[in-house]
Amino acid sequence: MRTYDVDVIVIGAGPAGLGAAIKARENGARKVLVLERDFEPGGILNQCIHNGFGLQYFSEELTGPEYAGRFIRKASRAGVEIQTDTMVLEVKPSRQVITSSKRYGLQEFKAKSVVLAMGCRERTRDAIQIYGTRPAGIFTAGTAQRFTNIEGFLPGGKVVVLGSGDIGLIMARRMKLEGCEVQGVFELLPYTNGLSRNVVQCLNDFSIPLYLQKTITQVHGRDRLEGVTALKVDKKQNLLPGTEEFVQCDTLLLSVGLIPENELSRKTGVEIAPLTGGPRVNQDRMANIPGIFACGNVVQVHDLADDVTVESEIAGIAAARFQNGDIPKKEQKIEAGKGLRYVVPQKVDLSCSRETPLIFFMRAELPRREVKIIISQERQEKLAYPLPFIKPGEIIKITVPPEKIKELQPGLNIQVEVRGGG
Amino acid sequence: MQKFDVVIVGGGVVGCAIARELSRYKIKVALVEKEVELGTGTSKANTGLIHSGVNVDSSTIKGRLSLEANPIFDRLTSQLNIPFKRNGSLVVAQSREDRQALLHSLEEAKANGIREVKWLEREELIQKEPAINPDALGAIYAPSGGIICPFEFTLALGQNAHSNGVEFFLGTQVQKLLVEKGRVAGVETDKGIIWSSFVVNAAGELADEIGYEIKNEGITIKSRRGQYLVYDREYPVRVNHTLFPRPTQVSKGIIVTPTVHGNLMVGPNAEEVPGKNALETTEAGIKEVIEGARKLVPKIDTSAVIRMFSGLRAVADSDFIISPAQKTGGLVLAVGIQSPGLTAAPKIGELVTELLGDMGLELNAKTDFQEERLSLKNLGEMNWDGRASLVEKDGDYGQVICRCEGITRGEIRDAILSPLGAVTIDGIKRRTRAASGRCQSGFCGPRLVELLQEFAGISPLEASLRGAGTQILKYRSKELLLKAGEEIADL
Repeated sequence: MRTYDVDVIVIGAGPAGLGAAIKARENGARKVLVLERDFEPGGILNQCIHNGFGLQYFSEELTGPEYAGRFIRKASRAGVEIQTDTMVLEVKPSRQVITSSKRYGLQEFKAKSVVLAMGCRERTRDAIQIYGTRPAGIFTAGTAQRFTNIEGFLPGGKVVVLGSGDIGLIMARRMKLEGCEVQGVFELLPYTNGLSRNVVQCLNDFSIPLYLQKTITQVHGRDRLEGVTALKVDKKQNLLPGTEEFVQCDTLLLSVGLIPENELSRKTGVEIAPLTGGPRVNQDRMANIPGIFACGNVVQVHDLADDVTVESEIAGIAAARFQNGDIPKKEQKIEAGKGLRYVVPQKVDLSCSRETPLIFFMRAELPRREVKIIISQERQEKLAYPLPFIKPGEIIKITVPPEKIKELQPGLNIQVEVRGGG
Repeated sequence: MQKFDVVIVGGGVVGCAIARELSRYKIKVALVEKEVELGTGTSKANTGLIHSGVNVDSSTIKGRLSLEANPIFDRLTSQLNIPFKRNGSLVVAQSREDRQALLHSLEEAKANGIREVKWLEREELIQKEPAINPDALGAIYAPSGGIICPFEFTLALGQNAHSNGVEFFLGTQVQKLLVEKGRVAGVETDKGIIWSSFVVNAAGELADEIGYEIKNEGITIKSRRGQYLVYDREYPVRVNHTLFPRPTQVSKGIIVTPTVHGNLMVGPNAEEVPGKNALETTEAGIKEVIEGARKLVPKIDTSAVIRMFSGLRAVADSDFIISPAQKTGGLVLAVGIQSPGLTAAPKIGELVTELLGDMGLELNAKTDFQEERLSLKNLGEMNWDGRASLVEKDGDYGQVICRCEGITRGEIRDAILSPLGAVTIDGIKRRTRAASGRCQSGFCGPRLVELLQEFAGISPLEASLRGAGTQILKYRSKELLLKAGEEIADL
């Protein structure tokens, strides 16, 4: 096995990996190598041929491949090396990375810092226990998207979508645009999980019915899917027997949640936060193992690629700086309080001077209007950010500029919570 | 079509074990299987256990054969090059009544000659299996109990039989047994007639549907369904041994076991179902399995389930039926092979061979019988250096296709190109474990479709889960739009 020394290894060439690699290179890392398991860089953006990317980061509307393309070109200009068709088999806590590829065989890279940017995967039928037979025609929405947009094949002609996450909404429209009959999008919760703009642009504009508080419990058909059993649920998501209805379809697309892909991280010994499913990170996006950073959907499932880019740049800069020993040391906890499921980062060292803002990402527990996000220490309110509305399907991003960070006291834990609203 | 000495109907573990045993002799043997892959019925959907023989009745055929078969598995699996582990089984007492009954079973087990079988008191049990319900009142411990992958076992038996000259007719459905003057003459299939002097019915749950009324023999096959759950390999709740409750009249109860590939698996329940197509999982069934499993290991939940499935056990009688048919000459029945059929399979093969000999089949041993089955490469078992030098020679072993299980292009290529190679997604999965991990083919599905095209010449629109009717993709992109456009143009 050949061994190579590099400054920064980035695992994954999606938006997170590319963003981190570019920033690492721009901030002094000489040899930056991105390892990508697919045959081209870009990650899942390559199959996201719809628009809506880049509104925040580039202030213009791009498709997924266009958004990825900008970063791929930028990476190439910045001198970032990308190795595709290369799978990482192991990351050692000492930052040795072992890879396998057809072209290069097994390789070992000794890196000064490692950025984890493996993205996420989709929850499956069995994970949510949809009972019944095992016919062909049941896909996760992302797999169906790959078949349709990259491989050039349609999974079926009569489609039911379960779950109103963004991929589910996008794929409902995509199937309709391909000439399929789309029977509807079913959502267990009383509200959608996707972005509001996707509900409007993907469902309303195409007259695709959205069934809230309705789920699918069973599939039918021996060889090919013939239909599903849909059922109403109450406010507590209990099934309401007697409301069963058979919905005919040959294809079921599941958009029932994304899970950060941290199998590799776990084996390395990276501490995973149960509520995000991603590494517990500090403001630099460094995990519990020094020199191992993480960003993008591997840390928390984002709604927007633009936010992934923002987070990846934080990690990329820090990965480059790590080599100079410039790292947070005395970390305090950041705790998610009332009304929030989680806050990222989960820890921070306020004594560590940074000219960049401190960015908090958080998920609301329930939809609410006219709220304030309160950042406090020892029950004392330090910063308040009013928001017109919050909903679980849209990540909340609070940017605390450097001059405001000074109002927070180093050495004390930070609590973030939602106040007010209805 | 050429004439065979023996035709075996059914390519499950029983049919394949019979085929392998018969391939030791200078006779012409064919095996006919209606599906395009081997082991797609009961053989694919069971617990994968090599039973120790505790709680079997040695006066029954199934009891005797499974007791005889257990000790041979070390040698057999090393010949077949498949993973096998004697992880030991524990039959757990959950009440005073259980304890009384199991202490009695222990004596029987000892009398049956089960190796090193003994009683474990509660403390020893907890020490041996920390996840066990602390209310357990001891257990029978049988170190000889083992776990095996039932698909690999079936396939390996089949491939070994194939390399020893047995002809396989896959995707070929027997429609009728040909009988002339009260004696079999062969089988009529949807692809033509296969003439044969002897026929073995090893058609599992379909044994009474191969065009020959075994009801004439007073036999009907009932289906008893069992549902299962398989967990992510990273699920923190794990057991080392196979845990059984005290058995009931109808089944061995809901079991908690590791699989030979390191997943936790629980099940089965036992439900009488009307049809042979009743292969669905149900809310009630899965609930029953979870509740049963929790009695043994209270921490089990559904948080890391990666697969639910159900299997049908073909039940004819309380025992296996392995005998010459009474009303038709030249026909041997190997039916009603319920649990512990997987364990007993090699001995069923021997017994059926013996019966055929008694019925006049001339059995002269080959001198060139190959006991060893060449195995496919399993990169997961190699160290980095071994792997590096393999990839140096053959780059396909460097390209990981299934990221969950770490399966490479080379391993999938071999599974497709090897004798009796994979022609479906399930076939690849059962040979290599690609697509059997936590993403359940979400990522590698499109790649597997490509590889079936590249190495088996199967077009993406024909690529299927398990054969005709289960094609994964229905149309090319834009096909529906073009059709709709033509319809409008026609107006």
